[in-house]
Amino acid sequence: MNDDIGGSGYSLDDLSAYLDRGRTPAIAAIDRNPECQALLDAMTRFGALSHELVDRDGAEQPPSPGWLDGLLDTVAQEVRAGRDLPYTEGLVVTEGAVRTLVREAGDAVPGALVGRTRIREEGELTRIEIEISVLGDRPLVAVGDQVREAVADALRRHTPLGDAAIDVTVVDVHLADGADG
Amino acid sequence: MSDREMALAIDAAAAAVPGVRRVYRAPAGIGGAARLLLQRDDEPLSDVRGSRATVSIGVQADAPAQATAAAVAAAVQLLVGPEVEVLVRVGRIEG
Repeated sequence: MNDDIGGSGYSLDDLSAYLDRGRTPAIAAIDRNPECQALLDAMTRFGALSHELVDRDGAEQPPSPGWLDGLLDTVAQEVRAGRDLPYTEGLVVTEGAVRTLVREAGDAVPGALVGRTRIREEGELTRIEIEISVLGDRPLVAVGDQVREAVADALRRHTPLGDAAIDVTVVDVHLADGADG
Repeated sequence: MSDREMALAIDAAAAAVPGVRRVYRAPAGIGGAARLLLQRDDEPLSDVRGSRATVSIGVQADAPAQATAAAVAAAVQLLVGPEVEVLVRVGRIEG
């Protein structure tokens, strides 16, 4: 996928190249765009994660590039601003900001990497669905519980979705390349 | 004060509110992407058109987003006066 990110005029590949150059020279259209910034931060986290997996598992190869590329495509879709979710009249938070908040809260849990997220309305109830990969040899239920708690805390603190139901599904277990479960 | 000058003043007022990490370029509605590409670096980030002002902010993760947005709205409303409708959009919550 190589779409224009957030109306910035820059694609995913452009952002990747920008990150590789150390974000210099500065490009205002990227630096002033929240969707681009969310994606750059995700790329940075994925890079660090790749190194962490190699270091911990002692593997010579980083995790499959295809896996991380697919995940990055998912993130690129989900950082889009989307709907405005109202706090009160005149104050809103974008759905993209909420998705990014959910992703960053989940990714901060050791051993968890957030994949697809969904925000669904079920009548009066909002349901947040989160798919995660668990990295390395960690207890799946414990990691899933920690992700749900971290996301619930973040939603209560920052969004109008503090009462949302949160479903966490472990869809994958990843070790370094060649050892995926 | 022109709309451009007002928008620049809004940028500065929003950026000065504690908890605001940065001010982002406000969405510009239909045709916005094309307009964004044509904007120069020294142009305002906030959008002021007649009776409506929009400011988009990134909030620090250690500050409550709604309260920070409300503080921005209050600061901007003081600046633009009561006849202008103010919309504050939280575009990112960033650690």
